[in-house]
Amino acid sequence: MFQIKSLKRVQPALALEILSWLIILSAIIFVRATPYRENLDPVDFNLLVGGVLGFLALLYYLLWRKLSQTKRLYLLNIAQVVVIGLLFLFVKEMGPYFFSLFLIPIVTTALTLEALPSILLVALACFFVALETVLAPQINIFGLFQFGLIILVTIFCRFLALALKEERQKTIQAELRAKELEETERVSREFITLTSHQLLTPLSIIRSFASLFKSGDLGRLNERQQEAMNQIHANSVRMVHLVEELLTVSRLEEGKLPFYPKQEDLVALVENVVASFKQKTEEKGLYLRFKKPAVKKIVVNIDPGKIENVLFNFLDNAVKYTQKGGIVVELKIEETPKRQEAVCSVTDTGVGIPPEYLDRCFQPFLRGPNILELDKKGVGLGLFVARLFVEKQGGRVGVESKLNQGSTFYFSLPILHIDKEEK
Amino acid sequence: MSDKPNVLIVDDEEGVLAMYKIKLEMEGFSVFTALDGQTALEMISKNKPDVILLDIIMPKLNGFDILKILKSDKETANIPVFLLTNLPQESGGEKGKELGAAGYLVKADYEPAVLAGMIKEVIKRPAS
Repeated sequence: MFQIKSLKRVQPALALEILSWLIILSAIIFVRATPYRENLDPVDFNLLVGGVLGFLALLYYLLWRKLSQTKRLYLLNIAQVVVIGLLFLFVKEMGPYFFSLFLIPIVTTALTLEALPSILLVALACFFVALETVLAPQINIFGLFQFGLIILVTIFCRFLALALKEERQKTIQAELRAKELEETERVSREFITLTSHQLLTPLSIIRSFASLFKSGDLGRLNERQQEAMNQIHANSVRMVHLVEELLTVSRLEEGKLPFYPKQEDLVALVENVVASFKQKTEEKGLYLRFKKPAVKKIVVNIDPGKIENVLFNFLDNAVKYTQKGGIVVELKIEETPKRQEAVCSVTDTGVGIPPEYLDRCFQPFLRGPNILELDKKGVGLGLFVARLFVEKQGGRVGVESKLNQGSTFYFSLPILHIDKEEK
Repeated sequence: MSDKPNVLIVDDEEGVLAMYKIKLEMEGFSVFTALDGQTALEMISKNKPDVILLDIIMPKLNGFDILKILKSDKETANIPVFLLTNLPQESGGEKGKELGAAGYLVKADYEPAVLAGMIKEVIKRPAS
């Protein structure tokens, strides 16, 4: 990660570097490189410049692989200062007005490397300027002014670089923290999955033994023993259920829970699940009605097991929290501007949910206070699992409720097609 | 004794073995148990069981491996095998079916009485 970071930092600098070499080369071509030392022939001079550049290119080629990114950059900048310095010394047209050319390598260094390299480069440039001043007495105030500018800009760039570095470190630290957090989350999810697996085996053994006792298979129990065994059995069933739900949630979040979608008639599916609740509601003295849609089939693309699970959960809750009255399941088709949706709702005449808990119904481990008083069973993962199941299949879930009047839980699914023939 | 159907249960959890042994013996089966795959294969070659309940996650030889070995041998290919596991249906059901298992039971989902009923059903099938 750090390598990539530093590479990102150096690459723009390298691009700048190449650009600055192009500027210098075009400067050489532009001024036609006529030497103003009388004893130097223009042809010889061009050969000299070409030779120096060629030598530098060779040096880069030989050293390139052995150097780190930052050292390569530094080397290029030193070479630039040297080439610019030589231009000043030997080319007549490159008078003091061109001192600003030094800015290119020095600013690059100041921005990307440490303070010491920048100072060394400024010193090197100073050396050339001093030499130029001695050799070419025509240097003027403007040239010196430019040189002062170079030093000021260098200092400014150093400060800028420091500020940037701090900012970068902050980002790196934030990224590291986020990674650590992600890792912790992953480990805890894995822990939940593993623990749940380990818990399931002993739990199901206890549950099964309790079941053997309870059913009288291991001999008749007296009334108290029977009651105690019923409790052991009921609570171990509850615990197995909880661990299974935990496992489902963690596998869903890890993306390891597979979905097997197929084309399925939602009307038949809902009808079957509702029918399976007939006995349970009758035992509690509640009515159970299914309002069918006015079509024969509503075909949806779903994993039927998962959607059955959702409806089962809604109905189970409805039965649990309703003491009198009953439950109405309704399946209808709703048109939205974008698509057709099948909406299946389960309405009960139960205790209802206080408004402040409504929007948190589908979050893990949350139950309203009244619900808690009424029934301590259930762990609050069921609705969360239901939400994940429906949302993963392109639908949504929702709830409406009035305290002490009842609740409506619903889910919607996108419709593939409708078989309109009346039944 | 000999008219009782033989059931072999293979599981590395002693608790699971004990529990199913009690229930299935009460249901009129003669029950053998093995804690690992190797022992199970030896027992099967000596005394052919009528039904095998096979745990999937076991050290050394896992349930799928044992099932493959059983199905590749003419002698044992016809024995109905139930895979018994804590893995939820979707992670092994398809593979079990492919390998020729008679059923795939999630331990946490089945009460012993239900399991006993299912075994009786499978044993009855070839006779009827």
